[in-house]
Amino acid sequence: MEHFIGNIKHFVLPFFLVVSLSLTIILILNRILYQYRLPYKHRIIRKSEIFLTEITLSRPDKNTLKYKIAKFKSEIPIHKSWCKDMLIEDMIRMKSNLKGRTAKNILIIYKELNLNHYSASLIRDFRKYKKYKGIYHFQSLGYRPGISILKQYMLHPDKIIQSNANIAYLALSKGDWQAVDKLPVKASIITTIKVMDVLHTENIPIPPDIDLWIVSKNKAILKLAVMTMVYYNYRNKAAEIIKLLHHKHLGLKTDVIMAIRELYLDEAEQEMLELFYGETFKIKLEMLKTLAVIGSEKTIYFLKTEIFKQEVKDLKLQMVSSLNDLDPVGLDALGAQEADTQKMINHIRKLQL
Amino acid sequence: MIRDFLYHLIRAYDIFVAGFSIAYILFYVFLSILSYLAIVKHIKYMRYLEEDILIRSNHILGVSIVAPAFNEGVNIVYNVKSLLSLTYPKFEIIIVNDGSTDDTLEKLIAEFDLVKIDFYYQEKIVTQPVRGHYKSKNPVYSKLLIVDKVNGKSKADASNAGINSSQYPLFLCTDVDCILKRDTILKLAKPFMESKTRVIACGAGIRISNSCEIKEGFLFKVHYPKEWYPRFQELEYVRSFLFGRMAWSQINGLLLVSGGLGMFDKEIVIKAGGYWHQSLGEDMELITRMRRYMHDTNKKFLIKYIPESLCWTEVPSTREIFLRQRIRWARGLIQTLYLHRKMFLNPKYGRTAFVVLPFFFSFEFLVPIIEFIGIITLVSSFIFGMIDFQYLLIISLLVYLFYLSITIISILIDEILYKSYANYKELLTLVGMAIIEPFVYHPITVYASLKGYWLFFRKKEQSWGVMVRKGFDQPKKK
Repeated sequence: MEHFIGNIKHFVLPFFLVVSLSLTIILILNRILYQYRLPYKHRIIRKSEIFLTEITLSRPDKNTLKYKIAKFKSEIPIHKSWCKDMLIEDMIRMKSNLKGRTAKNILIIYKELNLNHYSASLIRDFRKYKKYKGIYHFQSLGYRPGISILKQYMLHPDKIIQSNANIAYLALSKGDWQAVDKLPVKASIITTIKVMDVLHTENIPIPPDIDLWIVSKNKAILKLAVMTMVYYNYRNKAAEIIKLLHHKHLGLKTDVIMAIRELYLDEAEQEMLELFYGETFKIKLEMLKTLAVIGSEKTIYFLKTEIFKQEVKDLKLQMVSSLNDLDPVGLDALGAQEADTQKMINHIRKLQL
Repeated sequence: MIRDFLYHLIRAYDIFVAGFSIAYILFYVFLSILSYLAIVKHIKYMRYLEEDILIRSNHILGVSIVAPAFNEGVNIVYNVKSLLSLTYPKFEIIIVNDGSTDDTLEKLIAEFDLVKIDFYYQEKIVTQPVRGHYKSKNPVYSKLLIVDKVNGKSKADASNAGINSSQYPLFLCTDVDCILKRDTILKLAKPFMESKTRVIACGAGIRISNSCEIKEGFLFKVHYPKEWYPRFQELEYVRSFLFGRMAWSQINGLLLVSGGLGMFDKEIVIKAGGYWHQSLGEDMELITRMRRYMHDTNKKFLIKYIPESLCWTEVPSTREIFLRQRIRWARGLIQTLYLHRKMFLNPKYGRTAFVVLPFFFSFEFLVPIIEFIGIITLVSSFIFGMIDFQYLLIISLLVYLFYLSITIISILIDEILYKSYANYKELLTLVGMAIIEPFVYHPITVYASLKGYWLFFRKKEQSWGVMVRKGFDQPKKK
C-alpha cells in the first residue's frame, strides 16, 4: 500500500498537474493568438472577396487578368494554408452561383494562383481528411487536369476516398461511366445519391449502358439505373422496371415504386394490385401513393372495396387519400356510409388549408 | 474493541475508495480515447456526403419537430417564428399546447391566423384527451400544426400527443424555448440517412442561452453566462456532451439523448410505447426502453451523437430552481435504473447489460452515496484520531487533478473545433470555474442527488415544478 501511494505521489500526481497546466496554457495562448490574428485575417478575406467579385464579373482580357492576379498575389499571404483554403472556399462558393465564361474565370484564377498544386498536394498527403478536401476542391471547381491524379484513388481501400474519387472522376470526365461499372455490390446509398447529384449538376448525357444496368445483378447498379431513368424520363425499359417489383430488397423495391409513379408507368397497375396483399406496411403505403397517380377504374374499385375492410388506420388513411385523388365524388359516397371514413376525408381535405 | 473494529472498517473503506477511484479514472481514460475517435470519425464523415447534396436529393427524410408548451405565452410567438426559420426541405412544426392556463393558445391563434381543423387523430400512444388541432390559413405558416390538449402534468404526455399527430418518419423533440441552429434538422437527420445500420435516435450538443444576445427568438451572439449556476452548468455541459456522450456514441452505448434536443425514429418510439408520462427523466427512460425493444426484437441499431452544439437553452439560475431540477434528474436516474433492473447483466441485452447500465449504476448512481459515506468516514476518523492525512491528501489530489485534466481537455477540444466563446477572458473564466467547481458546485449536486434518491425511496409524489423563464422580449446584452 505504501509503495502504491508513493507511486501516485511521485509520478501520477505530477503527471496530471503538468497535463492540466500545460493544456490550460495551450488553450489560452491559442485563443490569444487567434484573436490577435483575426483582424488581419478578416482584412485578407475582405480583400479576396472584392478581388474575386471584381475579376469574375468584369471579364478582363487575358493580360489584364494575369496582371491583376499577380498584383493580388503580392498583397496576400498566399504561402499560408489558411489563406489558400479561404480562397478556394470562396471560389467554390462563387462558382456554384455562376455560369458560362464568368465561371471559367474562377478556374483561371485557381490555376494562376497555383492553388491547383495545393489541392493536388492535399490529395497526396498521408492524412485522409486532407485527401477528402483535395478531391472536393477538384470536383467543385471542375478542374479537369486533376483527373490523372484522381484515377490513382478510384480503387483506394478507404471507402470514403474511393467513393469521393469516383464521383469526382464522373463529374470531371462529364460522363465516363467506368466509375459506375465498378460500383461494389454493397455500394452505399450515399454513393448513389452522389452520382445522382452529379447528373443534376453537370448536365451529363444519359449513360449509354443504361439498358444493361437495369438487368444488372448488382443491387447498387439496379438502384442507380432506376433513379437515372427517372431523371432522364427514360421509359424504354418500362417492362424491366416493373419486373423489379418482385425484387426482394425492400429499399430497391421502394425506389421502383417511386419510379413507376414518376415515369407514369400505368402498365404497372395490375401487377401492383396483385402484389399489394403480400407486401410490408411501408411498401403498401408507397404502392398506394403510386396508384393514386397511375390508377384507373381497377384501382378505384380496389380502393372502394378495401377501405371498409382495412384495419390498419395509416393504410386506410392513405387509401382514402389515394381515392380522393382518383374519384372524390365516389369517396364522398363512401364517407356517407361510415363515420370513420368521413373523418379521414375531412382530415385529408382540411389539412391542405 | 470498538475502536479496533472502527479502525478496520475505516481502513476497508479507504481501500474500497482507492480501488473505486482507480476504476473510475481508468474508465474515464478509456472514454476519453473513445471520445477522440468519435470526433475524428465525425469530422471524416462530414466529407463523405456534403450536406447540400443531401438537401438536393430525393432521399431526404421528412422530420416533424415536436415542441410542448405549457404557459409559454411570454415567448411563444418568438419561439415559433424561430422554429419556422429552420432550413430543411421537408419538415413540420408541431406545438403542443399542454393545457396552458395563460394566453399561449390565444396568442398563437392571433399571430399565425389559425383555424381549428378536422384532424384524424390516432392515439398510437395513450395521452390525455386532445381538444383539437389548428392550422394556419396563411400559406406562409403551412408547416405549423398546433395540438391543443388537456394538461397531462408531464412533458412526456405532451410530447406523445405531438408524436401521435406527426406525419413524418422522424421527429425532433425539443423544448419550445430552445433556440436551434438553422441547420439543426439536417445535421441530426443526416445519420439516419447515411448509416447502413438503422439509427433510432440522434442527439447533439446543447449550450446555455442565459447570457447570450437573443432577439425575437433568434440567437445573435453567444456569451459565457454571467450568473454562477449557469456558469457551472455550462462547464458541465461542455464536459458531458463533448466528452462523455461522444465516447458512448462511439461504442453505441448512449443511454441518454437530451429532452432539449433529440431526433428519433418514430416507428421505434411508438413500438417501444413512447415517452413514459410518470417518468421524471423521460428522455433517459425512453432511450433505455428503445434499446430494450431493439434487443428484444433482435434488431441491429445505432444511437448517434453529434459533437456540434446545435441548441441553446435557458438553465436554472437560482439555487431553488436548480435544486428542483437536479433532484428530479436524480429521481429520474434511479427510477429508470430500477424500472429496467432486469436488463442488468442479462446476456440478451449485450453491452447495454454489461457496460452501459453497470456504468450508470456505479459511476452515476453510486458516486453521491460513496461521497456521502466518505464524509461520515472522514468525520469519524477525525473524531477518533484515526485519520491518515497523507493518504487523504494524495487520493483527493489524484481525483481532483484527474477531473481537472479531463475538464480542460473537453474545453480545449471545444475551442479547437468550434470556438464557442467570445474571447480569451471567457475561456479563463471557464477554467477558473473548473478549478473551483469541486468545492463550490459539486457538493450542491451531490446534495440534490441524495435528496432525489431519498424522495424516490420514500415514494413522495413526483412533480415537474415550474421553470421560471425570463423571456426574450428584451435583448440580453453582455
